[in-house]
Amino acid sequence: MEDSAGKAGRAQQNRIEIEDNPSLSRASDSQFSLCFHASEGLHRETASSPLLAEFKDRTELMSTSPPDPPEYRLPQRYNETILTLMARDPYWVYAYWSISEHDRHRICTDHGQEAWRMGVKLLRVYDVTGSDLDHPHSRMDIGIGDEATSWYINVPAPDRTYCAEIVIITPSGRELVLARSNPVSTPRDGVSDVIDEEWMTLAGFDKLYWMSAGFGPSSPEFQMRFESRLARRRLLMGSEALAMGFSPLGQWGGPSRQRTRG
Amino acid sequence: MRQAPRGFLAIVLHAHLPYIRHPDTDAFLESNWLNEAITETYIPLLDVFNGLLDDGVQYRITVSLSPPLMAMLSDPLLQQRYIDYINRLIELAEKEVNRTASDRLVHPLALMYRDRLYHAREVFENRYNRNLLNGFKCLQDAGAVELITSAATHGFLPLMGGITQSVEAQVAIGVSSFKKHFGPNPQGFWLPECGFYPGVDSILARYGIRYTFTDTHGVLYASPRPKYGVYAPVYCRSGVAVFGRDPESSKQVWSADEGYPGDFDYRDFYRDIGYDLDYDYIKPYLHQGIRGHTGIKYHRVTGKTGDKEIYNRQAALHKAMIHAGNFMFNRERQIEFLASILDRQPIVVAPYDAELFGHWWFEGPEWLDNLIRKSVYEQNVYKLVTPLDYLKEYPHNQISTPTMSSWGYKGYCEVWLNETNDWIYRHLHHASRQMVELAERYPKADGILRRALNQAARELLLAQSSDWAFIMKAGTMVEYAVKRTQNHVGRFAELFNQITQNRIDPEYLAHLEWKDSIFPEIDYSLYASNLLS
Repeated sequence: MEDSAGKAGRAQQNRIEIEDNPSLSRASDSQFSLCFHASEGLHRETASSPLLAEFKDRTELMSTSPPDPPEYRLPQRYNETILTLMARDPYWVYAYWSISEHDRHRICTDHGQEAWRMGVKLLRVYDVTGSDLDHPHSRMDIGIGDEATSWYINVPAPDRTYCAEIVIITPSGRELVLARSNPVSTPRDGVSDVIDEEWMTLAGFDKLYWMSAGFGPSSPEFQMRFESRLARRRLLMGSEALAMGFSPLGQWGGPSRQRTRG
Repeated sequence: MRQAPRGFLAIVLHAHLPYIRHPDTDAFLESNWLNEAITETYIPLLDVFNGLLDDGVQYRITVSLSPPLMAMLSDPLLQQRYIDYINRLIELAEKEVNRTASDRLVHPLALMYRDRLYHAREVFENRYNRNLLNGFKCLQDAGAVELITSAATHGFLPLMGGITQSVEAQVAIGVSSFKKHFGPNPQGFWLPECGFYPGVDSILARYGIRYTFTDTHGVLYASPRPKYGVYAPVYCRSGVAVFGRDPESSKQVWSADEGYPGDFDYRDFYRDIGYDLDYDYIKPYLHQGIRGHTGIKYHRVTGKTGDKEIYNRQAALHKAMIHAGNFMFNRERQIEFLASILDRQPIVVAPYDAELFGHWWFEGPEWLDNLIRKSVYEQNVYKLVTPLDYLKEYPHNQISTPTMSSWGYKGYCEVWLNETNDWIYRHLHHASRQMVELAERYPKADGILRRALNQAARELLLAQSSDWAFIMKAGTMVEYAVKRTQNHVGRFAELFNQITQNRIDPEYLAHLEWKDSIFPEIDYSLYASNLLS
């Protein structure tokens, strides 16, 4: 424990050391981010801020000094390289990411000073249903620009498993994979085609199904209503995709295997 | 002898409020949520359940109590605040009795509210010794109510970022909270917002949970295809039974257009003397002097008009009886129909938010009372059961995996993951990973380090409450929800830094222990991944 505390202490004093030491534990991340970009750092009000000063005055009068400020501010992102996918519904997956200062610097060190600034950043989404990243069924690239740190991805089909990467294409044309996500599975949006022999569907399953869908046992219109509801939902999602600025680069095609670990 | 029923009806009430306890101040309007729910929902429901028992009605109902609600109901500070709250309200109700003395229509209502408040205070103090959990426990012991638990802070489990330890801790603490207050291991688990995903069942199974619920499509879209739709449970591979919500019975109560609570004879929720009466008169009874609900409401829904008529209690109670009869009739027809096409007795599962009853739908408890009595005495088509009763009757069920789902708008995760609240997950997941790191780096800690680690776990859990994301989406009280998220994450981050930098500030820690004191027995080592098999 002393060891990690000492390490964190040094990290605070010496940013060169941080850059040179990629194995630094996450313990020092927040100090690290304070050093590099104060506006984004994970910091409670610093001692010089009027808010905390005021708070301190007040609490010192009370002769206890709980340094718990009335409000904490959270960073825009953490100084870590991470890409997380979350399945929102059968057609949408949410991604958020961050690339650590260290990794940005390393790209510049390895691939030229302009490599980060000029590089094209992509969110590359793979359909890995029943497979893995080495054998994806298809992939889609989404241009994410320099500012985005999250994205709603309109995926083509429910009940599939997706995985993603943050990829940068350097000015010299190299593709570097900066981060890889967890896999996520989208939910089904309909009845399963898989039938269990021991539990064969009953003759009345269609009635049962439409009743389960909330249309009562006797309406002749259930099927139509149910389908149009689904259609509306999809339509809504489609227009949302346009509103989200869905990337024109985003195409589902065969897997391309030109990948370099960054 | 009574003939065998054609099927079963399982009514499930899920009671939950977010953990709102500010020991330093009662300035937050949100603190009133608990007080209002005690007077308007929990005590009236306990009255109904006890009345049924007193009359010898043999009934079964399932009630889920969330751990934050258990913690708040058993908290002496909040109990005292409830007493203070209801004393003020009784003072107002007495004034109202005088003020309305010459009003033939309103005066009986003023008397009704006054009597209800005195009754609430009386049973709160003397029957339940200020702790309503005692009331629920008695009903469980009497064999009428089956109590079940929910996740520690009502975290929405499908969006925990695949960090199994976070889900595990939510489940483990949900179960241990239940055991602390009620004794035995809970058999059932209410997934917050019906938020199911394949795999969460294995965690439930590890903690001895035998059944849970999903929304209709969770089970209906299970794979393999469920033979009985939602009218029988399926078993996950883990052995946990999953019951799907029946959409018909749900719609009759919930639907904004067709639901019972919108009936014109029922009491209107929005018209409240807190808004209607002269400011100087009502000001002492308003929270911070700001106009809001007092709970004293004299009007009925009347229609889609702002011009509301005075509430008629007798007419409303009569309507509650008619609606209970209508609900029963519909279940009879539904279950007869289902029984005719299934080769076993169907179960219709009807889950509702408990706070709908009494708080929003003032006559909801009376409707439930009527429904239970009628179901027991006036029909033979179905029998009231709990999910556990059903599993005893039908232990053999299809094995199938429900799909990820919730009972929120559109049925999946959108309510808790959209442009209003998506920013929180980066922080929640970051803190979750850090919590796992802490648990692994400091196994078997003791002294102040242990206290700091436990407090870090509390802050993480409080940040994970699904209520904050929900409120951000719903658009009212957003500021409070944002602040709660920021503060719990911020406190966690500060504790993480203090712990890992070996500079734990005892005063800061003690302050947080005092401020965010949920789950006093928490054990941070729950987050160590080596616990997982």
